[in-house]
Amino acid sequence: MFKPVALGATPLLLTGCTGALSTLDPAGPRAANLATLWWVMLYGSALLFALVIALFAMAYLRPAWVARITPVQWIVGGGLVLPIPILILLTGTALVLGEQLLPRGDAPLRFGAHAERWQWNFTYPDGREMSDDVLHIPAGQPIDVAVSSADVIHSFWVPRLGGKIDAIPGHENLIRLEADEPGTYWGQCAEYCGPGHDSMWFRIEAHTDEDFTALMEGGQ
Amino acid sequence: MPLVRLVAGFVIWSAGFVVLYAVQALGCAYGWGDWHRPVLIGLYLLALAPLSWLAIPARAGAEEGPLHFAALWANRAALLAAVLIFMPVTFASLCV
Repeated sequence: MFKPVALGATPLLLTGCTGALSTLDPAGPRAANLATLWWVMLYGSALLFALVIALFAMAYLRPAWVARITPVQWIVGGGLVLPIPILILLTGTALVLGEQLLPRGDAPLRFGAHAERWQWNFTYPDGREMSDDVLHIPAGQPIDVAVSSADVIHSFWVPRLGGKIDAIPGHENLIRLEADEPGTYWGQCAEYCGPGHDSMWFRIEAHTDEDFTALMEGGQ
Repeated sequence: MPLVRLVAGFVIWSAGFVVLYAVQALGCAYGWGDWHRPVLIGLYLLALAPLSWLAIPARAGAEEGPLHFAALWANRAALLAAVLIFMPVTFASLCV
């Protein structure tokens, strides 16, 4: 009885790994960093969980062995030796991967994303406006998006391309994204901003260099 | 007094955390530039000083008992937490 249920539930879990808004289906180097961090955290927590359950099982299966461990050994081993290296490793991983997400070095093309209840207004690097909540970018190169807001705090998030960043009134936040391949990447407002929040979708259209150049020149 | 000593370490730790957090943000907002990092490292060391003092046992024989023992080890934990948690201010990116 248990086996068919367990096997039947596995595909159900795996469906969470793909989809238009999945961070575990990265389509660029920055999103890949975040996915890597997620997997490191998952494997780390799975390992810890297995270890704790194994100790728990030993209490039933080999009580004599467990009884030999003194309270001091539990406190020092379980409270210091076990968690501190793991926490240092996880924090270090997050710091190293997080630093790589920052918009540093050569400034690439800079697009604008201005949020208002409940839509996104995108602009090209030359200031022209795009229509229909669509941001057109070139694929295969990093780009910057300057995120701002007209009213309340929103958040700009394209899960398959990178992290999220808040859109704050009176302040401009910069996020660097990169799409490996041309295609459509969906995004969503990721900070609750009122009754229209759930429909505050947008999408990024990543184009080949030629197509993007044509798009830029076509609007001149 | 032993009760004050018991909580002192982590009170200093939390004060240090808030101050470092605020100074990191203020430095970016006001554009402190090259001064930003030295100021943060200075505050980091400033927070570690009282914590280091609290982590040293009091004069031998002067203070005994479980409360003093607990206070000493709580303060040592606070020192270790401060060294580890505040350390990124010495090397991580400050402003974007």
